[in-house]
Amino acid sequence: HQMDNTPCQVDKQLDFITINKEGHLLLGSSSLTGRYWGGSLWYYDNPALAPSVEKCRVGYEAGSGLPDGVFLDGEKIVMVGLDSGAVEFLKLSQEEESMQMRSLCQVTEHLDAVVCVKVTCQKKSALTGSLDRSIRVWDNETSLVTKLLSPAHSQQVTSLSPHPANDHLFLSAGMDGNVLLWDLRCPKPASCVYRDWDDKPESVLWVGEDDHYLVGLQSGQVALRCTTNLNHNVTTCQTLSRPIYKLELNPTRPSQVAVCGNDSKVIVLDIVNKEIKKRYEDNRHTDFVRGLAWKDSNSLVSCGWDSSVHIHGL
Amino acid sequence: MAGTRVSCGLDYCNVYELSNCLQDASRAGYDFISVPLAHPRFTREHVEGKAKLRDGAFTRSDLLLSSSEWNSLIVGRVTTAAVLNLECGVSSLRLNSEETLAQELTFAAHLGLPALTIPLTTDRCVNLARIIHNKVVQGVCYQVWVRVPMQAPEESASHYRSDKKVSEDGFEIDTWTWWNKFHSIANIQKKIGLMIEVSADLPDQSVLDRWLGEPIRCAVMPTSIWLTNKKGFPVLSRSHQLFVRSLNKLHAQFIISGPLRHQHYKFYQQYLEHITRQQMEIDPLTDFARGYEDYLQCPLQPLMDNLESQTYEVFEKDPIKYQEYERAMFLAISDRVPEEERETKEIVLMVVGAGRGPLVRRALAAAKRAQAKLKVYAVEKNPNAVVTLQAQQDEDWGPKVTVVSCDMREWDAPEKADILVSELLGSFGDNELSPECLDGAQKFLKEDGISIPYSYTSYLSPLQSPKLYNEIRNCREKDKHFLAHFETPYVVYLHNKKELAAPQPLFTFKHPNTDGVIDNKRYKALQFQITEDNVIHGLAGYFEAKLYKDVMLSIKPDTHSRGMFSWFPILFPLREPVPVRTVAPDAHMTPDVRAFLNERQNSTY
Repeated sequence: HQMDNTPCQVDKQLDFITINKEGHLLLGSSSLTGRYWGGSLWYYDNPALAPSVEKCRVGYEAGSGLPDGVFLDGEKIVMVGLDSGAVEFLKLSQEEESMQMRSLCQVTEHLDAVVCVKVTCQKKSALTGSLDRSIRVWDNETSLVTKLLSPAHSQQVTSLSPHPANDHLFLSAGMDGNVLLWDLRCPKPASCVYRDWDDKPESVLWVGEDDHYLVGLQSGQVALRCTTNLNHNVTTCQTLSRPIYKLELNPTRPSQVAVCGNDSKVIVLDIVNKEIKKRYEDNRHTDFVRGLAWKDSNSLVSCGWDSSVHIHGL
Repeated sequence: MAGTRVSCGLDYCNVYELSNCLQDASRAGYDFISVPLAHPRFTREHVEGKAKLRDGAFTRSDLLLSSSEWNSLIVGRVTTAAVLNLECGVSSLRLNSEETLAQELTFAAHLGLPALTIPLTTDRCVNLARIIHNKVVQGVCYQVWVRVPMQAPEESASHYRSDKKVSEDGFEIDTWTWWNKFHSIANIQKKIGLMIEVSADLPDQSVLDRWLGEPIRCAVMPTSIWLTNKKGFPVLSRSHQLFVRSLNKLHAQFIISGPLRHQHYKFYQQYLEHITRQQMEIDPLTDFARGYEDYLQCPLQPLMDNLESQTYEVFEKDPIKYQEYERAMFLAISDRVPEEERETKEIVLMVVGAGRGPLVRRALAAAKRAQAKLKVYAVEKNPNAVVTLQAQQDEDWGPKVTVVSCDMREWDAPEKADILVSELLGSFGDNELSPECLDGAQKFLKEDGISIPYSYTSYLSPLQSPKLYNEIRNCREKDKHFLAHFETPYVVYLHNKKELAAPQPLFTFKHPNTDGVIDNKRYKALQFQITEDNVIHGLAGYFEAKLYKDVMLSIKPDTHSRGMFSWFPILFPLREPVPVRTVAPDAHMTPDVRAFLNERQNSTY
């Protein structure tokens, strides 16, 4: 069931995981050291099979590291960001018993690494954030950039979060210490909703439908905020002792958020009645945790630079 | 007339394989490339946590390119996130960033890079400037190019803001003030220079004139500032052409960055060469003042050409030294393992002072030739050389080699060695403190173990060389008393000299040392007979090192290992030249020179 172009091994640093509605796992890995600074993309029917090469459905080798990736709307098309600044569109297709991952196109629009790839709620557009301080809006049907926001931040872009109901709204976080709210219907679409230089925001996430969002800070705190109250946090929680790298919402239980950072811990937070509580904590990883994906209401999948994938039961 | 050709480089944000990038840039006509020292996303943990014990090297091996390619063709770039987080309020993040920066600066010095790029993206750079200043003051081989944009990104980012046009919490948008604040703290001009990133819209001429008064060493030309002419080739506007010519008069270098917006990268380099060549054909009287540009006519200063990675590469090319070491290890392995036990018995071999691993490669070759099973421990304290050892263990040697990154005096060995191989000799056989190091390594050896080398013998000879004596007299190192220079031994290739008597043995060191107490302090008196009327300017020191049985390394003139250039004789100068006169034929006396030596330090009378 494997192809001839499937790489012979998964790269050592596992950078991201994502699970589609069918429960299939997409794994992105990079070689951040050694002679070849390449990457590879892996597709699994069952997340428990990862990161095994023999048990994957298909694999794809890239010429640079893969920081982030996402499934597009139902066509079985995958969009990944590369460390070279390119964005690559891949199509998953099944021929008889074997599955193939074909590169549809590779578009080099960003000047530096594309570290954040997100899809809007209506799945018509995609957002990419880069270390080149720009954000690009992609049309998923044409694979073209419909909007170029350069520079979006005065330092590197670290995180993007599309609005769960409005496909013209999204949040962005950058190394300039800003979290910006973007409305693409406006001629001047950006407005600052959070600002801190000494404890910079590293990740951002819409939570709920009443304009509330989470901000992951360098100190390891997770702050619950509202876009209408710019001066105060709703609540705060000291989750890690290192910078928060990724916040991942449980799509079936949206009061739960998975957290990872520059640490070997996986944390699950519970947001109830405007308060943040630690629901789960695990320390099975031996290096940085980079990827989080919800398998179902009670299962969380994590990956990291220790070349391991773990499934967490809550 | 003729000027010097403009120098252009190509910037890469991501390098898949370093030598392929280097060849692609060279084919496009570029003289150098700008690459990241470590992967920008590969964050390292130096303080606490499981990630602190991470396996493997933090970046590529230095063996992928030769020393000369590292020294002249590669410009390293420091991780941007680590530079930004030096000013961070979170203590653990700031500490990790400081250690990450120190790790990258140390590795750049090890590689002997010609220049290092540090991005300056804000006026909050006090900690950065302090660290860079302290490192440069200590002495580095690389130039520090501080990359400053001509236009602040915050100014362009404000065009998307629906908020009021205000500065983000009091940051400066005049990028010259960023550079000025950095340069006021790190103010050593010789090594620290400006790398200006040219913007698409050039500011007023007074702002450009202010930039042209700074020490600009390099200019970054993003592909986005280039215009496309009718035929699709990249060109610059007239104001950009004038600025490029002004930069070229300052002998600045150019870097092309960004994605390819035209058919080939060579077209950017060819255009810059065209407009600067046109400049040198129009201005004829610049030739009269060439050489007087920015000269105070006071004073003159020197240049040095000796880098660390290069030192290992030079000594690894000695064709005799390591050949004899392999021959000694082969004979030792063959004598240690009988023929009938060669498929079952495993030999433990330790290499002390492994360097970049030449003795490890020779040990594996000797074991393969002897068809023996071998387990190797490579012990090295230089963390930059350990990067090369870990890379070779990871790619070539496999699990039979264990890389140990520590000083052998502090290493707690998991097992005792059958064979102990050392590479710690100086010219006199003990000036790299080899007797004390090998005595300290006694604890790693089995009682019936083999030490390679097993003995050193020092030799002394009286010497006549007026040139060397005058070289010593004209030395002023660390403001030492002028007579202190004559108390110091010197390593020199004795060419313009005359040896006045045959060398005599001074001290012999045996390893393993089976004496009860290991003491390497010694006193000895030597006597030389001189048959000519000469002047003694110093004593020449040589050594013979016996590796195993009859395998030997020697710099003593009559037993010198042919083709071995790794060591030169040591010179013990005399504070006063001593004239020696022979007696008349009726006297029947030959002058005797007696020397008294102590603690392997010496004096003569």
